[in-house]
Amino acid sequence: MSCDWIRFRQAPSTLSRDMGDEILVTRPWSDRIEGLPAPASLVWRKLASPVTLPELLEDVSRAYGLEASAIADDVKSLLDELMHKHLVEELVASHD
Amino acid sequence: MTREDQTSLLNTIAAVGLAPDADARHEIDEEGWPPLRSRILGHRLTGLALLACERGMLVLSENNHTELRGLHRDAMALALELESRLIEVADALEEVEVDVTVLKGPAVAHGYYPDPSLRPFSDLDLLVGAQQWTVAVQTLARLGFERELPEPRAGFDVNFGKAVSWHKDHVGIDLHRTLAAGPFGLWMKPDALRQWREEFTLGGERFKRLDATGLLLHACVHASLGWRPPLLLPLRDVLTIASVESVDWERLAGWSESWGLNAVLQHAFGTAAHRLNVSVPDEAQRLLEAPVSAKELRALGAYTTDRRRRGGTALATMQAIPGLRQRARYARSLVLPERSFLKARASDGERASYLRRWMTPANWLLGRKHP
Repeated sequence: MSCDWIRFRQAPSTLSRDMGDEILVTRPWSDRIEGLPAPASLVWRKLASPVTLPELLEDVSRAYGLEASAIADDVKSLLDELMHKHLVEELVASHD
Repeated sequence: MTREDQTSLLNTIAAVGLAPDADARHEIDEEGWPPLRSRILGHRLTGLALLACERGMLVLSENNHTELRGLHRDAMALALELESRLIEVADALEEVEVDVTVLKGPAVAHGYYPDPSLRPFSDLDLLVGAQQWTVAVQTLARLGFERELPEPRAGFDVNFGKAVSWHKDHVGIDLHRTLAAGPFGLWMKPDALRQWREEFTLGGERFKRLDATGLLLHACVHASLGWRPPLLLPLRDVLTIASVESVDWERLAGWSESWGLNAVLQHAFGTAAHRLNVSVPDEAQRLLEAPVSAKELRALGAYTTDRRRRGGTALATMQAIPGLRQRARYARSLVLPERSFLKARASDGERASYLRRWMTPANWLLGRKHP
C-alpha cells in the first residue's frame, strides 16, 4: 500500500447512502453496515473515482487545513480497514 | 400547530426540491415536534424533512434535529439491508431462470431521485410473470422466507391476487403478479409493461425495472389505490417520475385508456398536484382530459371512498372478473377459504371459524368495522 502509484477506489459491489455528515456503507451478503462520519466520509467520497494515497492525502489535508503528514497515518489506517472489509479495492496502474 | 397546519407543512416537505423553495420558515417547538415526527415517519419523509431543514424551510431545535437524523439513519440502514437482500434474492431467482422486475423502492430511489437517501423504503417489491410464479414462490421458501398468509384456495394468487407478502427476520418482500389489487389489477397487463424495461445497477449487479413510463404508471396506481388517504411519498414519486424527459406520454395514455386506468391516473395526478402544490407537466394534459367511464369511477370509489372499509375492493373485484365460472371461484375463495388461511387470519386467542369469516360481509353491509 505504500506504493504511490497504486490507485484505490470503492469496491463496485458496495452499497451506500450519503447522509451528508455520515455515509452508511455495506456490501451484499454482509450483515454489517459501516457508518463513516467525517472525515472518513470525505475519504469515501474521494474514493468514488480511482485515487492514489498522495492524492487522497492532499484532498483531505486541503479540506481540513492540515499538513498531509499530520493525517497520513489516520488515512492509511482507514484505507487498510476499508480494504480489510472489502469495501475498497486497489488498482495497480501503469506508472510511466 | 394545528393538525391542518401540520398537514400543510408535511405537503411542503414532500415537495422540497420539486418546485422553488417556499419562503416561509416553519419553526417547530418542543410541543409540536412529537406529532410532526410521528407523521414524518408515517409518510417516510425523513430524508426530505432533513433537506427542508438544510434549506431553512423547517427549523428544529438541535435535539430534535439530532433525533430526525437518527430516524433517517435507521431508515437508510434498512434500505441498505433491503438492497443487500435484493441482490441475494435476485441471484437465487436468476439461477432458476425467473425473470424479475424490481418495483418501487430501489427502482425509483436510484436514478429518479437526485439522491437515493431521499427515498426510503421498508420492503422489496418484485414482479414476476404468472408462468414463473410457482418457481418464484418455491425459491423464496427455499431461501427461508415465510409467507405471511397462506393462499386462500389453490390458484387464487395467479388468477386474482396482486401480490404475496413474505418475510425473513425483518426483511419483507412483496412478490407481485400485477400492480394493483382488485379490478384495476385485473384489467392491466403486466406482461405488456414488462416488455418496456430498463436496467439499473446496484452493488455492481444489474437489475431490471419498468422504464420511466411503466414506473410512472405504477407510481400513479400505488399513490391512488395503495392507501386511503394517499401517502405523500407515493405522491412525490408521481411528480418526480413525471418530471423525467424519457416518459413516453403517448404510450402512457394508450395503456391508461386500454386498461381502464384513466380515472386512477387522473386521481393520482390531481391529488399529487393539489397536495404538493406542484403543477403536472403539460404533457400530462391529454391524460387529464381523457374520458372516464362510469365503470372506472365506480371501481375507483371502491378504493378512495368509505366503501373501501366495507369490502368495496372485494365486491368491485367480483364485478371485474370475466365469466361466471371465474367469479364463482373467486367467491368460493373468499367465502370458503382453506382452514390454514382462516387460522392465519384469526387474531391471537381467536378460534378460526367460517362463521366469523361470514360475519365480515354482514358487518360491511351494516357499516360496522370487522370485530
